[in-house]
Amino acid sequence: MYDSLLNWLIFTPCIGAVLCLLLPADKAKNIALGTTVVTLLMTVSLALAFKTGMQGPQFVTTLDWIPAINVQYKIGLDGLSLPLVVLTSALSVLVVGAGWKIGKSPNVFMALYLFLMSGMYGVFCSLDMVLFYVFFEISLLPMYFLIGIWGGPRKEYAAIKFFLYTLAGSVCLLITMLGIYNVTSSADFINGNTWDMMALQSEAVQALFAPSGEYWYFARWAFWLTFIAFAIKIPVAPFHTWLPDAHVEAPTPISMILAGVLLKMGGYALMRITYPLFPDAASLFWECVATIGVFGIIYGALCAMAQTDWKKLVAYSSVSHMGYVTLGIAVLTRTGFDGAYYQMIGHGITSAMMFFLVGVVYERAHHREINKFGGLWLKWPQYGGWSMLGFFAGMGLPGLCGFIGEVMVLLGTFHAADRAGADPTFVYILGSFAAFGVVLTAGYILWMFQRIYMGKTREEYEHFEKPNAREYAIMVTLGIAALIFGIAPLLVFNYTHATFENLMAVIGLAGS
Amino acid sequence: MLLSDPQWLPQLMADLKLVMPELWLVVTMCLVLIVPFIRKGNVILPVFVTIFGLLMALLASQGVHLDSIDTARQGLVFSNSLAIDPFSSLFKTLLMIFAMLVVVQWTLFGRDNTHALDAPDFLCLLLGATFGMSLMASANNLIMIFIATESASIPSYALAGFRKKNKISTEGSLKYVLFGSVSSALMLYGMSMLYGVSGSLQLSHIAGTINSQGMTPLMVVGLVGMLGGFAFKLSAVPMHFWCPDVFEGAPTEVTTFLSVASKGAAICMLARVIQNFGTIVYNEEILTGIALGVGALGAVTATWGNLVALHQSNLKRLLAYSSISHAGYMIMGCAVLLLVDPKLILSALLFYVLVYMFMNLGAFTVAAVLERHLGTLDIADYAGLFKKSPTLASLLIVFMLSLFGMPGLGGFMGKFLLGAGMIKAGTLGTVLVGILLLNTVFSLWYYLRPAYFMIFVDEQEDKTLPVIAPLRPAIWTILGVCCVMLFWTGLLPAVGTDIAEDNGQMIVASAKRAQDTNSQHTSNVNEPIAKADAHR
Repeated sequence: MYDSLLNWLIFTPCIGAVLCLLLPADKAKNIALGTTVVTLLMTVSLALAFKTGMQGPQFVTTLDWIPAINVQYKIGLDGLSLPLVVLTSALSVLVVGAGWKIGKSPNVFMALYLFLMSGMYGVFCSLDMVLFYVFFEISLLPMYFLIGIWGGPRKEYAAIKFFLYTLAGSVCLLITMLGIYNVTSSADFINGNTWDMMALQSEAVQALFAPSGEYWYFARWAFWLTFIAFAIKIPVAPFHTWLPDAHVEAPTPISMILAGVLLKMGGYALMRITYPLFPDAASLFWECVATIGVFGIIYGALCAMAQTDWKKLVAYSSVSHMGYVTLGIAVLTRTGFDGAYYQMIGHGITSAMMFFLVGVVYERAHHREINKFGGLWLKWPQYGGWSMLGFFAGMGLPGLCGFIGEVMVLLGTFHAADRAGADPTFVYILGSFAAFGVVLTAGYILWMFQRIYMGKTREEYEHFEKPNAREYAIMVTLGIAALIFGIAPLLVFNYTHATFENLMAVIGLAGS
Repeated sequence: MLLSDPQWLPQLMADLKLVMPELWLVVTMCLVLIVPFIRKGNVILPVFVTIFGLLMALLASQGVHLDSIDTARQGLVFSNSLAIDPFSSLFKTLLMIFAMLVVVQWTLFGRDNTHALDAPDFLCLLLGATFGMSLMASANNLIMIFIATESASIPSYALAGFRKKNKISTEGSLKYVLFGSVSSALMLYGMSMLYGVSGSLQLSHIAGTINSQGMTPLMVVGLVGMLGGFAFKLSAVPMHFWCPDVFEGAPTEVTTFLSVASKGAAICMLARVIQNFGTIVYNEEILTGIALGVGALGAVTATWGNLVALHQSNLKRLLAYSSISHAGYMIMGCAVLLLVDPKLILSALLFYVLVYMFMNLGAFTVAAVLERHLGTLDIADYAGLFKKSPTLASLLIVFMLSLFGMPGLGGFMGKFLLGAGMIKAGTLGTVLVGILLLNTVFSLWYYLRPAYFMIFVDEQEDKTLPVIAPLRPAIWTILGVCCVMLFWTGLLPAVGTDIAEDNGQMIVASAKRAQDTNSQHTSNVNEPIAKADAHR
């Protein structure tokens, strides 16, 4: 029963989207809200039925899709995907709430958003590479239109930039996939070729990609190609330039889902595809990747500090925070992986909250110049309180959800000094720089907070309406989530534990 | 010699049976021309006759399986000049279906622009071109390749200039004729070289000559010349200049027809020539050399087509350059045919043609509707169209996205299967796949341009679009069929790939000379696998 429920989870948003388009436009918001609530309930029941001790995927459905080249429709949930699916479902309800007041054709907006949801669920549930690719790329299209139609002044530019950048990444993934097809169809150890992610992690395939294996040359190329594909999505610093544009131009709800879930696809895919498939290449290049991650942390933080546009600041903070994800994965320690994963969940909550907090003010002030604000706390004390919670969670204050991920990534980085073949001096320098990123984060968040919330209330904001009940509901939900996940990390680790154990074994790091 | 054989009559009858599709087309051409004597000025009657003829040709092209053909003759008819194999028969099936759809499209749009008395002429020319293309798919020796190409081209020249009063149409047609004659001359010149070197018109014998003599300079000149002629039909760079002008000037249904059928047939012809070389030549170096040459042609064509398309503001010209780049993708696929298991590539090509047919038909039909109702093909003039006719705009976006290769739509599956075949050809294949994918990335820019104007840009005050009058149900049916087919091939491609896989077989005549009567008819089916194994 749960197997089919997972299928329904992926395609229910599609049904909702079609209904949004067919029924009268004013019903669209209610349909979208209904659909997201239904998918949330489905997700919750899947999470309850999930067996936490199992390493492999659960609720698996396997169907032949393109028999000619052995492509399967194979979906399932494991510890790596379930928390992100829950995050997607929970954020989706809030995003529909945040988009409640969208003015221009709300039915098309909601329909595109629901299609996007299907894409996101599909990415997190696919266990076949072709299927993964299809969902990965399908999720770009609604995003293009959502930014391009409902965005700000430079929406067209931002939309096409987002599409082209991520497409370039997808193409790197596609060429790797074709290469894998070439490898698995020429090697005669399995029945024909395979695109099954689990089968590709098997020892037989891994032997080919090992340094002594026949396809070691390919594995090194494939590692970098897939890394770039997902690094663009995360985004890792040199490939991040689409993100500030997309975020600044996107409407608030879309920024929330973009930062909250879509960026996580990149980190998830690194853990799902790049690292388990090419572990030897990963450990060969780990210093390079880790350096890229640390560079992202510092560069993102410095850029955030320099911004005068509030939303752009939050956007650059995403670059910095996702740098921890890259670093945590790159250092190849269990703590690092756990930390990177927790950072994704934590950032999913805090970035969505921060973008929403910005959106609430932007809707009233119609600008985002940090220096033109001031004294918002006095004006709206309650809003100020929740803002503090949200931004401090983003900053990584202990007791809030941003802290655990960051600290575990840092610990994991220093642990890497114990790994065979790692140069301790390099690790310590790396770790110190990453830790310095925490200071920079505190710097730009506090400075921004001071300029916007502190000080005297400005006259031009006297007439502002207070945030309404809907807005408070979203803030409070996210705020409470930030608190809960800051106190009880086991909520996530219970689910991921067994799968990560397996992942570590595949990568060859058991016990480290 | 033929008549001295007591079996000549039964053999002739058996051969004729295999060319029934072509015979039906010829008969229908005559019938269409006779119709005006019965009912002068009637348009519907010749249309029905045409559809009937195409339907009969379609039925006649069915049922060709390698095991069902008389094993002694293996579907090589008329002294090996035509090869009737699953590959060509599936292409013919697609061609007939497509021709029927084009006739329907013409009945809905072009009829009003054509004088009623010209209708039978138009249909006759269309059938003639279809006949030529059908032969192109089977052509197996130099003479037949030339005849087939010419009998496809000459009606096409006339079709391209069918809007007699229109200057652009006439100009396009003239360019087409000039380019066509030059390239025919080039092709003939190349063929004469090939004949001079090998002393035979058979493709397989020419390939056999390479085995015995190696790649002589004369052979290279001959092959390049012949490839030049093919490049014209494929609108491959540098023989592509006719393509945008003809596509812009010709009636839309002719453009649709030429963009798919003519290129598809030329791809079949190219694939057959390459397959002959791949099966018979065993020198790996020469094979790689040929693959490199053809691959470079495809890569340059695809890249050039895409780069130029980036600048286009006219919808039809944009689609013309898009079709050039698609031809480039298919040529790249053909290039690796002689390096890998041909079945993969042949079935991928068939699937590609199948999908490409619906994408282009759909896109050009929308272009025709827009041209007719809005009086403009300038994409910038479509600003705000999405609000006025959301369904039509959405359909155009679907077709464009499929041409781009969006997963979930057929175009992606076509490219994906082609890529999966190409990647197996070692470094060359990987480079070609890289070029294919890189092209895909920047083609996105222009495929999204119509969407950009229709959705993102608001209608300008001074330039209000006329309201599009309700379209005829038949037009919606054509568009709907194309759209459904794209989603079907994109989401559930198994049916299409299975059919393509079953038909991804070509037969190649033996390389031995004709004097050896015993081995004259023995043939090899997809032999390179065994051959490649033997040589590794």
